[in-house]
Amino acid sequence: MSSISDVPDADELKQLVAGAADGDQESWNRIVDTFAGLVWSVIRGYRIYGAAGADVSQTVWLRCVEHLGRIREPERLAAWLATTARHECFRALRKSGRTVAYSEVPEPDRPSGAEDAFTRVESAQASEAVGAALELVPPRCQVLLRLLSTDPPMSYDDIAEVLEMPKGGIGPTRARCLAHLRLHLEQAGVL
Amino acid sequence: MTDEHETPAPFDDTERATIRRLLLGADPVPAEVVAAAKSSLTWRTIDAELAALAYDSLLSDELVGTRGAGGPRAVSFEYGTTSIELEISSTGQASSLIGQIAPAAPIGLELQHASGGPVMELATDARGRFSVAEMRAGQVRFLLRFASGRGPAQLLTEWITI
Repeated sequence: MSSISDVPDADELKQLVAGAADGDQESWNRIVDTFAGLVWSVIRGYRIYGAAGADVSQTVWLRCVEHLGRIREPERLAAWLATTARHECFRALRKSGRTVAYSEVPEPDRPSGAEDAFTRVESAQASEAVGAALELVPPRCQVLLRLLSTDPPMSYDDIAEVLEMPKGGIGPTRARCLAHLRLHLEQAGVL
Repeated sequence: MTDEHETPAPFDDTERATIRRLLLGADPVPAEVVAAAKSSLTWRTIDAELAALAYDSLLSDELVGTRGAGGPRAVSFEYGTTSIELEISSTGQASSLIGQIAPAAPIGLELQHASGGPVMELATDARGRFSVAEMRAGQVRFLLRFASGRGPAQLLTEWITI
């Protein structure tokens, strides 16, 4: 048996989904503990806060419960949750009268080649500044960066499907997003 | 074939862990959100078929740009040849809805609210119509009970947020 802090692998995830579909609370708790951060990240990526954010999260998890017995590819549960979260975010934004930007991520104002914007940030106390810098990058970037950092990792195929973008676009978009982030981190004095 | 842009290697374990630490350090998932997610397993239902959300004007309007904001929200669920259509009108915190089951049949149904409380018992008329004069905001779904026929005895709609 693995400890509770471990990330479930594909086989374990299959067992957890089967267990939860049978009503096993422990299995379900482990699924929630594993992916609650992913769902939350997508919601935050669209800048939805407070009760509205909690509502989106709960709708996603309620949907997940009703689909438990119908999930054919448990290893792609992360992609299913992220897609469901994204759609619920669109609904929440529409309900509150906000528009949803589908636009491409623009090139940053000045070039910034490094891909190491995040990994050069070492100190834990920088997290607030990182959070503030993240608020300034395009929402699509926020969601992409969060999807790229999930554990277990999502495949590029799944990320492309969640974001409805061609797989070949992930690399260049990621580079532009990191460049945006790096510029904001520099301006915030973190880098 | 190679892509026009080379696809970079995914972030490695350390990079992903760093990013997550920074993101979630700045914005952790609230404990009550996790607790609510865990408690949602109590809504598991095994003896009803699921009518999938087939259309929601909240998602679709933007793509076709036909209906302005502020009009009623149209939602439909489908299971096989059975459909449930809803038209939801919201003013502030209160919402009302009218519904239509097709093929039309007089059936009993209940409105379930994820935040708990008593379920609301409803019935369709001979033309398959029903209505709810006032409902709270939150996640809701309908459980339809069919007396007889070829379809399932119970049909459950997916959750939607009102």
